[in-house]
Amino acid sequence: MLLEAQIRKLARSNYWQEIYNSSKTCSGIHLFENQTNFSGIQYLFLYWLRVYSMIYSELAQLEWENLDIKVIENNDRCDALLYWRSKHIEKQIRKSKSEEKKSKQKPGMINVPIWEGIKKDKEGDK
Amino acid sequence: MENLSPEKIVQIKAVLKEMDVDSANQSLIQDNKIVFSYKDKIYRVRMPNQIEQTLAEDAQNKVKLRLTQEKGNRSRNQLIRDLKENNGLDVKALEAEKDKIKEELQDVYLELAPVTSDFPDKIEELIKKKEEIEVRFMEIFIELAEVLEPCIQEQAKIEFYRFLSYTCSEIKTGEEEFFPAWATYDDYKQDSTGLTTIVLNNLQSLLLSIKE
Repeated sequence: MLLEAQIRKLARSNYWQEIYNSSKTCSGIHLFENQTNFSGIQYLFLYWLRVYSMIYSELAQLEWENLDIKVIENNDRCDALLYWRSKHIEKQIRKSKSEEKKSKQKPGMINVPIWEGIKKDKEGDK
Repeated sequence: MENLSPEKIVQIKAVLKEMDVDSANQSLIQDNKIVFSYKDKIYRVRMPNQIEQTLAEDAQNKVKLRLTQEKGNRSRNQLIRDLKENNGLDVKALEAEKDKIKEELQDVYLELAPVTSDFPDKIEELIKKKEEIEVRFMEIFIELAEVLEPCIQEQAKIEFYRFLSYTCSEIKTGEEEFFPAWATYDDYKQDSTGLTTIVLNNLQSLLLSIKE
């Protein structure tokens, strides 16, 4: 099994998720024997612990229709969901920002560009 | 002894299965070292400290400087130009192709993500499509790595990892005692056994992309 697949399998296991969640509140619980100078593998493991913790919590909240436990257990489907999710959230943020912008405009007001002074292209340009 | 219900047995088996997975792979993450055996001896590769990283960067810079001064060596950009002019190999086109494949992969992700578990055939079909795209991606990735390997930057990077392999490899000598696997860097360079390759691979796994 590839290294990353092994790390992901560990990170999504109930055992490590429980330890990870407990370590956030109990200062006595440590994930690794070393407390500093983490290896790349450990960084990767921490990343996946955080990602799976987030997905499990979204699964519990029924956040996404297409998310179930089988998605979490399948790396390909999980990767797809994470990418789709990021695009979905990005779209929502753009939409809410544009709505926020619209709501700030007073009724009947025309969107005129505001004078911000002369911009210099390069330092020393006159 | 209490008779266990089939449900309980299934539950215990699931717990044991998970414990098995954990104990098999936990050594990967429990600390910042990788322990392995080679020809009946136990070795370990550990994470470098700040001083060792600095020394490895110095070794990398020395190689870069030496190769730059020697005739016949080419920088990455020079090599890319030479490959295009002399061998008709367009590295930039390959890199663009790689980016295009990456986009194709993202399109498959967007197609796969909304499919619920009720449609296993569709899921299988899309995963197969994804794997085929990944094979094409890996082919280009490997080709690029191979053709660019002779350039100065890549050679210097290899020196960085070699130096760290030498400084961070240890051999088990006692119950809990580990000593440097090679006394000097020259000893490491002259070692013709497969140990240096194993050590280098383990070090790269340990570091992953921290340096980049």
